[in-house]
Amino acid sequence: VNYGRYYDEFEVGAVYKHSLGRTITDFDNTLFALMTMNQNPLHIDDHYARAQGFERRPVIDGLIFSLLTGMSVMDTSGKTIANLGFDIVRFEAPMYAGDSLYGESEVLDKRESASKPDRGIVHIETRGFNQRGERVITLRRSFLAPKGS
Amino acid sequence: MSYGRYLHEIEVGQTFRHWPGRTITEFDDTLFSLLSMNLHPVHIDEHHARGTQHGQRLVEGPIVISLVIGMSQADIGGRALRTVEYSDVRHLGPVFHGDTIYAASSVVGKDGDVVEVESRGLNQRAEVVLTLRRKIVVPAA
Repeated sequence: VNYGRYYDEFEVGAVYKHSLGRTITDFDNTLFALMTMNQNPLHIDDHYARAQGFERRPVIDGLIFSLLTGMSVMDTSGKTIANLGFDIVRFEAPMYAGDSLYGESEVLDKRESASKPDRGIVHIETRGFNQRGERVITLRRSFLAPKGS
Repeated sequence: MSYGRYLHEIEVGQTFRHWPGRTITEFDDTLFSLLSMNLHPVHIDEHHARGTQHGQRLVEGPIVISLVIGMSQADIGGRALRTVEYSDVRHLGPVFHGDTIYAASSVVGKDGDVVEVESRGLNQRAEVVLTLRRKIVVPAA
């Protein structure tokens, strides 16, 4: 199975639909929040979240971000040499345990490395949607992809 | 001890060195990579990683990002009701299993109830491995 793409296989303007979605559970949310030392009670205390006007505790932003990035890797940066960073990660709607996250990525641009001929920089936008097709997150990132066979 | 800050307790120019830090283990990296569906072999396959640039597995980026944000919460965003965005997230150095990450932050903007925070992640040698900005919505009380 081919995991990720070589530099030559990225086509500017192409949109890759990530075939696998994932339902986020309460366990995921609590585990992720606490393992990353994030004890904002909004994400780990349902009673507190309701007192703040939420129907229940929303899924922590870092989990939505990490999962969308992770599910994009098989179609995008799965062969990457280095991840350079994220220009922007925008959280557009809350998610709750039981919601599913789906994603797609668009190739914004790419250019060959000036110093190393065996690689290039790829810039993509990845968009995440819930099970109703509502946009919940958009991010843009760049990574170094090897040229390949 | 209080956790996080309300709007009136936050001012542009405040700086914080967050405490404590956290050592990222092999367990953390494997768990988080797999939970987030990231199967890039450089995070989960030591044998493969030995043949790459750094000769060992690299900690996945979103783990370092989420950890630095998490560390900053006790001093700043621990009462935030929403994250608007992250921006200018830069991985400036590799993070390996066993490295310890520390974090520091500055408040760089305040517009209504939206607070902008700049954070840095440093390793045990005080090398900056990550910088990022984020905007959060902080309640008055």
